[in-house]
Amino acid sequence: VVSVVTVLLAWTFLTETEIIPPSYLASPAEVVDAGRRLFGEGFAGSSIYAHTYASLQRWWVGVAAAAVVAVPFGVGFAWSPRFRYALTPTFETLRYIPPFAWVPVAILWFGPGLTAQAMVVYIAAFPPIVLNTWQSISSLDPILLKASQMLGLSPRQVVSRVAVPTALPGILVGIRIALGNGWMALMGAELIAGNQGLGFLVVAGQRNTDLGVMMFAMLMIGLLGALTDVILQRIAGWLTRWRRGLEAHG
Amino acid sequence: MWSSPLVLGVAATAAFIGIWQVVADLELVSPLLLPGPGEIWSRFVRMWTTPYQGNTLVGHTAASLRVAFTGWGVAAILGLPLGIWIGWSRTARDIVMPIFVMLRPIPPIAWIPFAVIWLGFGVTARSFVVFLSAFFPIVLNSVEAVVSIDKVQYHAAANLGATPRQTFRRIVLPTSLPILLTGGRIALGNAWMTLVAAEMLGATAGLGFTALNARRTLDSDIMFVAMGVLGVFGGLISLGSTWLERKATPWATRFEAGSGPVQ
Repeated sequence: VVSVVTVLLAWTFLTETEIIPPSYLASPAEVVDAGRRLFGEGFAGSSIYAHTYASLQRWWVGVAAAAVVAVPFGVGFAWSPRFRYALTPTFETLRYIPPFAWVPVAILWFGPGLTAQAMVVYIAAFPPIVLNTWQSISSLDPILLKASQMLGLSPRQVVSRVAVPTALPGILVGIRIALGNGWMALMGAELIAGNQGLGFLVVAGQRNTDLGVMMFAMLMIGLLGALTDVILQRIAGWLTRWRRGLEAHG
Repeated sequence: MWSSPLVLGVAATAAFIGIWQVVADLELVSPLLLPGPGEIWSRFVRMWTTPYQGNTLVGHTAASLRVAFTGWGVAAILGLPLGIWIGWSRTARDIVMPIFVMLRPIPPIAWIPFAVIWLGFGVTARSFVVFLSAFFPIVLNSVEAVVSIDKVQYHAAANLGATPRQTFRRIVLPTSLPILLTGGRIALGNAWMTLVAAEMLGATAGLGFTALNARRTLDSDIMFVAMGVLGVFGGLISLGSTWLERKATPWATRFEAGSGPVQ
C-alpha cells in the first residue's frame, strides 16, 4: 500500500511540476477531470456509458458465440477420435494465427462494428474453450461413469449428474481464459478500427492529445477486465460448490 | 483406413481446401472478400521477389521477427533480475507487487497509443509494446522460480558442506530453471501476438502492417498471405520453444493431459 501511495505521489509531483511534460503524461488531477468530462458530456461522439456498453457487448457476444460452438467442438474432440483427427490440422493451423491478424479480415467482411469486433473476440476465445473442454471431458474417470451406470443411473442421468458436474470446472477454466484473451483481442481491434468502445477511446484521446482521456480509458479497461475475472471466479466457485468438501479431504 | 489420424487429417484438410477453391472459382463469394487458395498461393510465391510497400515478404518477416525478439530480449534482460530480486527479498516484494497488481490488468495493447506519443512511429515504439507484453510473464515466473526453491533443502545442503556452487547446481537450478523457461516461452508467445497489433498502429514494415495495408488497398490475397506467414511463425515459435524447453530441462514434470488449464 505504501508503495502505491509513493508511486501516486511521485506521479503527482512529476506531472504537476512538469518535470515530465504534460504532453507525455497526464497528472492525476487531469485524469480525474477527464473522468468527470467523460461521465458528463462524453468524448468522441458518445458518452462513457455508450463506449463501455459497446465494448462489453462485443466482448460478451464474441465469447458467448465462441462458447456455444467451442464446447460441442471440444466434446466432439474428446468423444470421437475420427472427428479429432479430421479437424486437427485445420484447427492447429488456424490456432497459431494471432487474433489481431484477423482484424483486417473482419473489417473487410463486416465493416467496423459489432460483428467485426465480436468476430475478433470469437477467434481469440475459441481455442482455449475447445482445448479445455476436450481435456476435461477426456479426463473423466471411466470407472466413475461405469460405476454410476451400474448403480442404476440412466444414460441421461449419467450425463447430467456425473459427466457434466465433473467436467464443468475445466470448461469454466477455459471460458475464463477465453474471456481474458477476448478482452485483450477486443482492445486491439478497437484500437485499430472503429468509432466506439474503450479501446477506441484510448486512440481518440491520443489523436486529440487528451492524455487524461487516454489514461482514464486505460484504467477502465484494466478495471473491467479484472472485475469480470473476479465475478466469473465467483460464479465458477458457486457452480462447482460440491467440490469444496472433496478438496478439503484431499 | 478411416481411423488413421494421418489419412483422416490429410483427407479432411484437402476436402476443406478443395471446397474453398470451388467456392472461389464459382465466385460464390466475391474474390475481394475471400480469394481462393490458388490465388493466395501464387501471390505468396510472387511476394518472395516482388516488393510490397518497399519490402519483399522476406523483408517484412525479418522486420517483424526483429521487433518481436528485441522486445522479448529486453524483457528477459530486465525482467529476470527484477523477478529474482522480488523473489529473494520480502521488501522488494512489498514494494513492487502492488504496482504490478495495479498495472497488470491493462492489456499491453492498450499502451500502443502511449508508445506512439512517447516514442513516435518506429521500431522503438513497437519494441516497447512487445516488451510490455513479455515483461510480466518473465518477472512473475522469475519470482515463482525463486520462491519455489525448497528452503529446507537449500539450508541443509549448505550445512552439510556443499559449496555455494554445488548448492546452486544441485538445488537451485533443477527447480527454478524449468519455471524460468516456461516464463520465457509464454512471454515469447505474447510477444508475437502483441507485435501484430503494434504493427497495425504506426509501422511502415512488418507482417501486421502488410495485412492492414492490404485491406485498405483491397489486395485481399496479400492480406491472407500475411496472415498465413504470421500463423506459420506463430506455430514455429510455439512448437520450437516448447521443444527447446523439454530438451533443456528433461527432468521437469510437465503438465500431463488432464491436469491444469490449456492457454
